[in-house]
Amino acid sequence: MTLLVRAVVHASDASRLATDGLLAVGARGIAALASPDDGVPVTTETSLRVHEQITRRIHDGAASLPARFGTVYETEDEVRRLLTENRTRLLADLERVGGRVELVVSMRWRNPASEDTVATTGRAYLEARRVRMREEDAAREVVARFVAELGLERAFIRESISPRPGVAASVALLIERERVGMTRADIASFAARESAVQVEAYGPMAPYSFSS
Amino acid sequence: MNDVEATEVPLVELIDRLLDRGVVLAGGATISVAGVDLIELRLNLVLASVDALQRSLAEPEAA
Repeated sequence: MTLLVRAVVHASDASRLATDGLLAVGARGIAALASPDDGVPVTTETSLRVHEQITRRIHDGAASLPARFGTVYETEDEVRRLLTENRTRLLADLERVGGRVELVVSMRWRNPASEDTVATTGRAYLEARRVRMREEDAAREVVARFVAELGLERAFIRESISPRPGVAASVALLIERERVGMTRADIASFAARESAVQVEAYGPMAPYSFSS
Repeated sequence: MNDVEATEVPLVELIDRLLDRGVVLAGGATISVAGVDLIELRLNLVLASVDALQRSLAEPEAA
């Protein structure tokens, strides 16, 4: 049997959250919630969505750190040893995240300047690079306006600039659960006034972008 | 999330978060993609998608 780790929680919350086939493995005040399995997980859209749903349910019940998908351990002893070795870091992250949730904000260019093509000449490459860099600068400016308007602490924001062709930025917001509705309204207000990008908000989900 | 309806996160954003972020316990982990065991790790590890790895190589941390 192998253990597919779903999330890390305070040990005091573990037994309450270990439902629907989850196994709690605890050590020194901290615990991992894992799904017993017969091997390694297959990465499919379904398995990813199941993992996301499980971590969301866990985080609904208590502060948690969602695990990166695909982390499998062979024994409970190995999990306990690693929890012990990483205890200080994990407890600090749990404290920082608390009951907050992650909102996903995607900003897509309405009229992308750069193209996802391979340059065939040196000149074309340099031109494409110049366009790409200018677009990245513009994306940073959009994100800066967005962050300033939402008025969130910088520590609660993670952004990825130009993560994919056509996408200006993908932004993760760590917010209080009670502020989700208000934040969505703020995002919609920003989106309505922003002409360069199309802004969409998704989630909330467990705080993947804020769990190290 | 109890009292707030969650909207489905697009797959591309889900992949970015579930395979590239989230807590990692260093140690022996087996990573599988599409049913193929890619690698068995026995050292401290940082898992990353190819895209994330390329970004980190292109943008080394400031000293």
